[in-house]
Amino acid sequence: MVNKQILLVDDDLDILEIFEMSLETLGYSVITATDGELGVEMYKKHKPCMVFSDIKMPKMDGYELFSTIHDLDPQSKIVFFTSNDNKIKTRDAKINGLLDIMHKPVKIKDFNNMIKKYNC
Amino acid sequence: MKIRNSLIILFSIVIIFTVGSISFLVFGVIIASNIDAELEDMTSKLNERGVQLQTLHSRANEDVVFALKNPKFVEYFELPETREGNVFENDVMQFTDNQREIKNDLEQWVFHFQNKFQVDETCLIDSTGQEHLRLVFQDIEVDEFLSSEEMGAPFFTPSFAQEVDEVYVQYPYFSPDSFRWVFAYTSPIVLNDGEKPAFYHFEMPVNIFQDIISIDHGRMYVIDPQEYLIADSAYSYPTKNISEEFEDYFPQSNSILQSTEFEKLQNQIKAKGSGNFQFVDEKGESQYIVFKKLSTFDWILVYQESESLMLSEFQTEYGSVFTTISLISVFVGIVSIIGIIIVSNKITKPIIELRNATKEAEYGTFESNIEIKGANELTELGVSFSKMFSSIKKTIELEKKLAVSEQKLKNERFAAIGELSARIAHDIRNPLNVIQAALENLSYSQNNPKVFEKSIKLCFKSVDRIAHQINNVMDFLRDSEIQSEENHLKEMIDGLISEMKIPDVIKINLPENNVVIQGDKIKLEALFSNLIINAVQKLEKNGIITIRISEKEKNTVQIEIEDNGKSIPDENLEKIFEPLFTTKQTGTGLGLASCKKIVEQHGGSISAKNNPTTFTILLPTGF
Repeated sequence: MVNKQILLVDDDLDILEIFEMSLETLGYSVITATDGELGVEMYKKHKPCMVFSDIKMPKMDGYELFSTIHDLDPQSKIVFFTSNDNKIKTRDAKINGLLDIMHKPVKIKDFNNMIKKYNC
Repeated sequence: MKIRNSLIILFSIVIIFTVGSISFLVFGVIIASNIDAELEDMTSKLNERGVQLQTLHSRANEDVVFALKNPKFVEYFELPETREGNVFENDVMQFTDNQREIKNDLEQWVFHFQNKFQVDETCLIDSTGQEHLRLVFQDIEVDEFLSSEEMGAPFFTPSFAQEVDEVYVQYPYFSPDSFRWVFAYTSPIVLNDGEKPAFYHFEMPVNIFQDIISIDHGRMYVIDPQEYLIADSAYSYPTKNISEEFEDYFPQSNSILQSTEFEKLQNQIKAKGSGNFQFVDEKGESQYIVFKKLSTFDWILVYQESESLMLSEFQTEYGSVFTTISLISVFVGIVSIIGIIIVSNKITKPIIELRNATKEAEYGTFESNIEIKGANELTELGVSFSKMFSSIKKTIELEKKLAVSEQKLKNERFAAIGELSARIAHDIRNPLNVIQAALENLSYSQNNPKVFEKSIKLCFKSVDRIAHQINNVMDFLRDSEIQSEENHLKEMIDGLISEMKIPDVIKINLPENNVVIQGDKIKLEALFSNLIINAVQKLEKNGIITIRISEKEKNTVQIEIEDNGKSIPDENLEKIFEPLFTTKQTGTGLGLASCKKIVEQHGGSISAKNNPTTFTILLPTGF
């Protein structure tokens, strides 16, 4: 049983609920945050294996969250999970170490594969 | 054609016409007055000659009378032998000594008389037609040649018709003695008892008469009633081989004057007696005549001059008048041309300037500065044009600005639509993802009722969310009319809340009062559900939503929707009602804008405040 933690950051509660439920059913340990700031705190606190973050969020958006966490921990594994993104910013983030980007809607199956891909 | 040139031509025509007419009139007047003056002159000369001619006759008459004053004439015929009758011998008249003595005296008397008075021939003829004495020029006729047949002479009988001192003038006749055409003047010798035994008779040649009317300026002539020229200054009457026939010696007026018009005039002349006429002769020359009837024989004295002759003495005057008029017209012409050039320049230069400005305007340039000097209509036109140009310029600039701002607006609108679409896409993607994930779960979680149930629940929620968003957008975009009806607010709100699937963690305090208002049911429902859902979505846990309805004065109802969640930042309290404004990363941002729209359509107002977060709606009841 895998119990490495996954951090989900998204301001949409329903998204968080369904994916938390689905991933836990698959056996993952999931922690959630509803905005970028909380996301950073959660990361500091729990040091999850992987972070899946939306981009458009209040207080701190996905790009900022990425750069903050990545500065804190260059080894951090961060994947964007978003409905739209800024191509240039995404490219820059990728250059700086963003692992990947998933565009909603994402199947649970694909989510699972992404986690496995990056060994979490 | 250029304005200047047409003006020049026009003015030239006008000037030529004017000068021509004036000259024509002036000359006409001058000529007419000159002719009148000349006619007066001619008339006075005519009268002069007329008088002279009259004098001729009257002098002759006086001479006869004077001659007869010699008492010897009476004495001779008083002699008894004379009374007894003439005595002849061999056809020659015999005279007694007494008779001879007196006869000699008488002959001397007559001789001196003829010399003195230029008489051609004098006779003394008795009632039998016998000459008692005769002198021709200076010759005293001898007895043998004294004529006995004077009874046939034309003057014979008329002479005896005269009284003492009365003179009979005989119409010109050819004298067989002097071989000349002569006048005869006769007067009877009257004895104391009234008997007229004889008459005194002398002749005077007509050329004396003719010589009187000689004239070097023009032509004078005398016409008799038969239209023969008794005398004519322009005709040389023959002096040798003189014809005895009247018609041969005296020419007809027609043959000399040779004018058909003159023939017609003759009758008028005879009728009028005196006056003047003008006619045109066969050469086409204009002729003027003044005429007057003489007292003797109804002869008419005529003085004729051609018009050119009459005007000849005024040539210099005409010359100077003509020169003056020519100079004046040349001067006027020059001044006019200069004037026209100046004036037309004054007109055409501004017009050209305007034309240049409008030429630029053809290409859309309205920059030229039009300045027309002067203070006339063209200056005003120039000012008008300048104003027009600056107006156009401003309009163009305004149009440009408008176009720019319209483009900006379009761009903004496109941007807004883009933003809205992005938002809608974003807001639908999340719920769709939830539905997809939920369906995935359903397929392999039959054994996990909790997951199953939750997944289904989340599906429904997502569908609601999508529907809600789309409704928001459509409501906002649609501008439908209000369908007014009675609405019970408490009933409506209660109904809405019961339909909503509100999480249990949120408590709703339903309104206690009811107010009935006129309004669109569907819109009002949308309004309230929007606000309630916003509140619900905002509250995470342990939220309380309180809804209050109260009636205000002036038929207004107040609805308050209060939640104990986070405050709205103060700077946003008004902005939140603007379209596309949202602090949530989800949602189109149209919800509150739609609410405001609905409220305003009903004639009400909506506002937000904090502490606690409250949305306040004021609506007229419509009653």
